[in-house]
Amino acid sequence: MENNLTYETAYAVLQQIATEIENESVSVDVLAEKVKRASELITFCQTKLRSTEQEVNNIIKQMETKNIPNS
Amino acid sequence: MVKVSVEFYSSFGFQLILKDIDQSFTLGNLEKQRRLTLERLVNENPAFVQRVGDEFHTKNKSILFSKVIQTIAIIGSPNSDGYVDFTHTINSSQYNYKFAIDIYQSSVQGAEAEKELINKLVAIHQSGRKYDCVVIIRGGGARADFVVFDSYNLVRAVAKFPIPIITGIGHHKDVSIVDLLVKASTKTPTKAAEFILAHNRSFEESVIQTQKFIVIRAQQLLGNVQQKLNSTNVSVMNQSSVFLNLLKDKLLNYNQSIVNQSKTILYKRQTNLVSLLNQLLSKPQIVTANKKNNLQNITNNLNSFTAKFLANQKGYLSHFESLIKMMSPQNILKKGFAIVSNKQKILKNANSIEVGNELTITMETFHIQTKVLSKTPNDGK
Repeated sequence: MENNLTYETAYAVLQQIATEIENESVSVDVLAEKVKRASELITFCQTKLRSTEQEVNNIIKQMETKNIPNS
Repeated sequence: MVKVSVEFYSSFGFQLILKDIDQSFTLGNLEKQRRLTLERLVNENPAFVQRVGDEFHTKNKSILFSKVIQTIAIIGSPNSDGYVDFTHTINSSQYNYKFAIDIYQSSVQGAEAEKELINKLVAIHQSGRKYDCVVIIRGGGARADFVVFDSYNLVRAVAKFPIPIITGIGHHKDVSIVDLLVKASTKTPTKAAEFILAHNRSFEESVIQTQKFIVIRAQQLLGNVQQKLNSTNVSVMNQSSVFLNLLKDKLLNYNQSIVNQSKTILYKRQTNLVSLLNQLLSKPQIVTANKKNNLQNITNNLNSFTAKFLANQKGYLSHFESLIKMMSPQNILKKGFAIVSNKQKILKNANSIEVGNELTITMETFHIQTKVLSKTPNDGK
């Protein structure tokens, strides 16, 4: 998977592919390729989301134990 | 006139003893003389002798004694008892005052006495010494010897003499004219000395009194000041304690308010922080959840779109398939149509066909070989 890919870019590409397929403006010849790309982007986005979520949860947990022990 | 007693002594015979003298006889003359002298004095010297009632005001009387009498000119005989009495008294006093005494020797009785006395007064006046007083003393003596002190020239000189004169001319019964005119007259030299001592003593006492007064006054002042100081001290202490208490109260209030305010501020900040934290806690989750949702949606969309896309493509394909099926020669043959061909070549029209040509007719299940018998145009009826 590309190293420089951001979530937003991946998501934009995904949207574009979805629109193309919805409008049937894609050729059948490249459909499989497009769907495969979409699947890869989806995996990338999910991974990114999950790791971000995990990180945020960890940070929040740290904040809770460190900064406001009384709350 | 005299009173005598006559006594007889066998060894001496008669003796006349003088018992008494009728003074009115002799004194009468003296008194008359005195009055004349005084009248003359007053009449001829109004500048320095005035009579006021029974008293006489003279220049000598009008001169004030020094505060302290220390330098004394004595007129009299240094060998007389009067001089000894005077010096003894004045030098052996309990106060131990010191005097500078000059003696101007003069007879005080007899023929030359008046002239001598006047000369001495002149000598004193011209001595250049600053005498505090002149003391005229006489040891005592008979009444008649005393007349020199009534003599006109002497009393005139005394009356206008510019240094205070004290007399102590030793008689008790009567006063001379000099006594009437001088600054101070005393009965005896001892009394004159005592007068001087008393004069100095009174000055000393006034000094002591002043000293005492100063001490007392100073103590009073000090006491007053002390009292004022004390009361000021007390009031300062009270005021400062009141002030301090006031400050203390203020400080306490400030303290309280600071504590309260800071508590409030802290509480507010904490609340803000908590709410911010809650936002922070929930927001990322919301964000990720939204993103997840979106991703899910787009995934779903992709799936459904792809499926639909594929279905559509399939639809198109089957449409073409059925179309093609319908159009296939086999199907048309089934419907009763036949394919006419000449020499393996399918004929689309009959233009090239001629009578007698051998044609192959292909039907659903058989190929038929035939020969053209006739050819007539098909007008569509």
